[in-house]
Amino acid sequence: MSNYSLEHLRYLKKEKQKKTVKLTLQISIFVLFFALWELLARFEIINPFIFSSPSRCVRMLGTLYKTGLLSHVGITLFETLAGFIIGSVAGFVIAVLLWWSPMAKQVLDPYLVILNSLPKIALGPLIIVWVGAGISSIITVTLLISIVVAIMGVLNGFNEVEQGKITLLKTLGATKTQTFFKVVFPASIPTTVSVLKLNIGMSWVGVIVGEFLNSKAGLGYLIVYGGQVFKMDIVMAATLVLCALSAGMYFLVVALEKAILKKRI
Amino acid sequence: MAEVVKLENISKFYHTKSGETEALKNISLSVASGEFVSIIGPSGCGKSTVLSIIAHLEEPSGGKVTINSDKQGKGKGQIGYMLQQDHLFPWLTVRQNALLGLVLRHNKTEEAEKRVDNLLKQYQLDGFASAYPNQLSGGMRQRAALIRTLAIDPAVLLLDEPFSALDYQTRLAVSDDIHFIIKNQRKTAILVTHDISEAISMSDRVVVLSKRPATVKNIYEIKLSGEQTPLQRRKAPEFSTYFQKLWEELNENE
Repeated sequence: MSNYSLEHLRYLKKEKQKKTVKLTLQISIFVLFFALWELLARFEIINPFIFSSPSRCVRMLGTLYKTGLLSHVGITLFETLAGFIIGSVAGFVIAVLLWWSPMAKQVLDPYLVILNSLPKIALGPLIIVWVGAGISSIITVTLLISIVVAIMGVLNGFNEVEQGKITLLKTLGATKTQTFFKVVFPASIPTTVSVLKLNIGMSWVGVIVGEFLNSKAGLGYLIVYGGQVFKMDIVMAATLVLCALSAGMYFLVVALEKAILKKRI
Repeated sequence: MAEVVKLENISKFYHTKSGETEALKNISLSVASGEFVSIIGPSGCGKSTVLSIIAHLEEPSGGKVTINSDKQGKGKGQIGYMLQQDHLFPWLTVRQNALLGLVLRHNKTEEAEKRVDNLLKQYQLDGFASAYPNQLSGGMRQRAALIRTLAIDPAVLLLDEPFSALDYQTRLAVSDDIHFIIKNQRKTAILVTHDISEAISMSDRVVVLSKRPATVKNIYEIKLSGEQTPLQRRKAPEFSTYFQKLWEELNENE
């Protein structure tokens, strides 16, 4: 540290200052947003019945907490994770099979494209009839969304692995299984992780819309219910919880990504 | 000297929907044990195809490839291939990369590991055995790639423009390195290059291919006075004569 030149020390200081300024601004925006919201509602410049306010949200959170907010959170979280995990794992397996058999991939390609472009939510009413209303249909919709994203994304990652690396493995006498485990899979870990990142966001969409369609519990249910009885406090409070949850999960995946990629330098 | 690689009347056609292209025509060539042979030719003439066929990555349309007089075994496991890029895997250490071929062949015996460690040591990479490829210089990466190839103890090394991704300065130094290692290990090698100087400076013989469909146009025996490294060979008095001849030979194709 003491070996650095003055110029370098100045540079380090400047970088540190930049970081502080950035963080300060980020926090200020957050605080300002809620303060403004609170003030506007309190002085009735905006209608607090329609726009709610942070203090009303907090009060509502307290009320909801007593009437089982945690179980709503638990159900939504469960549905999201179940849809995300089943969809991603199944999608990954299908992607591996399609990589294995280029013929199967070519045959199924148009169907995949159609499935990918179809808004899976449109199948909601069908799925409710087929698998029954409630949690099972919500998980099914979410699964449908995440499985297609996983297949397309993971397969793309597999196919983007440098051909030279595969040729090299062939010259060393690798079998197809070895080619997969020694090159294709490890080389596509970064794309696979970013697909998972994308997928977790998609799963939230699937779950909330699924809950909008049919449910008796969950954050999506709370939001719809709040809207129906015209209690915007419930809508806002549930949305804030949802915000916190999805952000938390996203950062968790990013941390996981960092941990995985760090090992590869 | 024993023949290691023998090509007899190799031909190769490529098929696409719009037609077929004759890439190779009647290529015959034999390479003796310990020999260093270069193949040069106009770009796109199918130089690399010759290597792919020797390595059995591609099947010839006609003709016969024999490696160590073994026709049935198809020479599998006897071929070491070095490609244009080193293709070291960034998620493996240098030592793990070097051991890759052995792992794939379920051949990772203690003895083989010792041999690889020796190679790493002999060619100044032992200090980097547990480093990752991105910590190595371009030259060191090529050396690591060569050791990975040597680890499986191939009968013949196929070098497909292995230096073309390097800058000129590094390229000269790495050619020296690689040439030294190959000679030191008494390996037979076939180098494909578009660089005439590189071919002359490294090889015992230079094979000139014609443009598509490629045939063997001529084979030059390279005899330079004062034996030595490729870099020194570039200064030999006969060097420019060979260069002139090969240059003309290649340009006749145009």
